[in-house]
Amino acid sequence: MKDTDLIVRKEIVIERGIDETFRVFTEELGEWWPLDAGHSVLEGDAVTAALEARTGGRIYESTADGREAEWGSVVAVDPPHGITIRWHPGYGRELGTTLVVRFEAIGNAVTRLELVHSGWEVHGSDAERIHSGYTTGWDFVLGEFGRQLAG
Amino acid sequence: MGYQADTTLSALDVLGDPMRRRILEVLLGRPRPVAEIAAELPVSRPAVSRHLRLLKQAGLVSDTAQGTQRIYRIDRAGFAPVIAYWDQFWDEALSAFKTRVEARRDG
Repeated sequence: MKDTDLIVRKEIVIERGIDETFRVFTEELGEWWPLDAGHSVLEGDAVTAALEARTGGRIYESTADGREAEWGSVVAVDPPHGITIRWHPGYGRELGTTLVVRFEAIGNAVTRLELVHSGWEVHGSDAERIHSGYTTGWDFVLGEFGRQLAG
Repeated sequence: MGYQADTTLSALDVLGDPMRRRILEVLLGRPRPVAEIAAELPVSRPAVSRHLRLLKQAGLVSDTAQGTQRIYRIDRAGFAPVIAYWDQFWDEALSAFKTRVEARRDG
């Protein structure tokens, strides 16, 4: 049986400084998010997307007549270095996965953006701890990525 | 969000049910017989079996016989189309981000 790595890692270099890159990515999500059918819950009806760049902030899309669909929420944010997001577009928080997006300045006008999407599985000894009732699967994932973002 | 591949649609459709997600949570730690899974859920044993059948059809769990019991485990390979979907999704979203942010005037 092929061992599937349950993680998505992406890296992209942006020809802009870190502050602008972070700001556009987060607070100006509506300026760049492609609202095509493949990247929208309200396919065809959504006119904009938004991200509230603060702990507990919402990430959502909205239509011209005020309907909204939630994509997730902000777990932690450390401008302009990173943001951690609970991601559950079009379904409940229970099946939420984790997005960790990091920004690294390479000189004044270039930024490296790294995105890690994971949370479909927890591993090893932590799985046993979760099933002993010590903590929920989601609390574990949040703890792990909170530590990664802070450290 | 829109999905293309039939296998991806199947797995993600199946994951839309909270009880099936709860079953996957139960199986995350270790493989379990049906009776153990059912003991942790507030639904009937036949309902648990039905959920397991759907999860198995979608390739998300697999089972083996152990004596008279069927032992279920998460099938990591079944998640491959889910991962492939998100891999392409983020390629497209980040490409759009790069294009838009770099097209802005400095300042």
